[in-house]
Amino acid sequence: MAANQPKSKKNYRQLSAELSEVLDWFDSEEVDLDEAIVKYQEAMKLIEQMEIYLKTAENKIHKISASFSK
Amino acid sequence: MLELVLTPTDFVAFLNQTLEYAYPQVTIEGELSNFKVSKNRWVYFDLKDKLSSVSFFGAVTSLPGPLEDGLKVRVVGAPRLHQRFGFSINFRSITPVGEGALKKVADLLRQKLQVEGLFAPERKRPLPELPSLIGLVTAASSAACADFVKILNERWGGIEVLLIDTLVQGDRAPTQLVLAIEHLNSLPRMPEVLVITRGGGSADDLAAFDDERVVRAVSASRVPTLIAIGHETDESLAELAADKRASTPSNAAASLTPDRQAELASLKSLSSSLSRTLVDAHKATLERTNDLAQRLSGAIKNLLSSEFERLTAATRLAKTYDPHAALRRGYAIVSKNGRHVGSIAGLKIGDKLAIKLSGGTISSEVQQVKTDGR
Repeated sequence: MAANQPKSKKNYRQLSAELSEVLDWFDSEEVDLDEAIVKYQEAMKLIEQMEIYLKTAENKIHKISASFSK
Repeated sequence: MLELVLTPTDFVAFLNQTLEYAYPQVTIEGELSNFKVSKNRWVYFDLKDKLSSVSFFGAVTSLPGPLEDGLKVRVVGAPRLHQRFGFSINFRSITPVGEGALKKVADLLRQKLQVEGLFAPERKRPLPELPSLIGLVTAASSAACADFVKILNERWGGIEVLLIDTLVQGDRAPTQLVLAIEHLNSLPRMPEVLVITRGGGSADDLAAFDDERVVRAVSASRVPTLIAIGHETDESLAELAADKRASTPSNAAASLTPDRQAELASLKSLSSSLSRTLVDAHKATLERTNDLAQRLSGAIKNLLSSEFERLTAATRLAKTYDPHAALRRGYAIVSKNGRHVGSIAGLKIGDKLAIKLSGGTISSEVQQVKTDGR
């Protein structure tokens, strides 16, 4: 399979965890507009990376056959 | 013709050589009898039919599971003449034959493993939510393998799959399945989940998944296991020992991965919701600012109003002190030689006085000084 992996070095789980942190901030804080704008931009960037990942990441199949040939 | 005279040892060696050449491997099917396990290491039994009986010998590790007399089995092995114990077949594998025998063997093994706790629910481990490395044990050219990979690709990306191509049915399948499971468990970077899969088939086809060695390897796997065999009923023993079972290879792939289309939709909805949150935050800040501005405006208005009132009062008071106002009411300011005269004291006839009235000043001279009623 082609190794067409997304540009981000982070995997989906890491991106998802970072997004959750930002969303928690929106849930728990009394939202300050200046900080909210920064957090919003962070969240949108993460969402964009996650969307790119979902649209471009392909699975790789490595066949291990040396010791198990029939 | 020269008669060949051999020692017993030579004869045994000669015959074994001949057997090895003529019958390197034989497969015999018959009814199991005189089944014995010695020292938990060696197995002896006979296979018989109506007319004949053949002896077998081998290692306990080659057994598919517990066996008992009366079962119909197919045995693969090599015929040998032992130096002291006579003729037997060294067996390599034993497979129960026919649904009845398979079921009986599976039931015996099920009872044994159940007692050992291999199927206990508390042994089941959760599978990772989104594995990045999957170990896949299956026949690489099978529809099961193609289905698993297809669904995995449809649903998610960025996953590495370590595929070990094995037989999934037949005499050699159990050994290959066990080796594959052990190999994936020994990798420096172990998979996060082990998927063992094949399509459905007859009881004979699926017999490898009731093999004790396979069941024990699944149970001993340090990597959590997911077994998917294309059938809905009659779980195999390997499935009972696995951490999770899926009904088909496709279901196995689906149970390991979220659906990327659903995830994309959820991200889109999250993005809209975040935008709304930001707009709300902006609105709330604007409202707070407006509120502050109104409070400030009100405060300034109040301040101005009270200042105005204070100024008005001061003006009013100041006006009462204005001498011109007194002049306009008819009062006059009298001065003599530029000095203000507050009383008649010191005035005498002939003094020149300046009398300031509203609108001007008149000059006068004192003609008479008269004290008020005293």
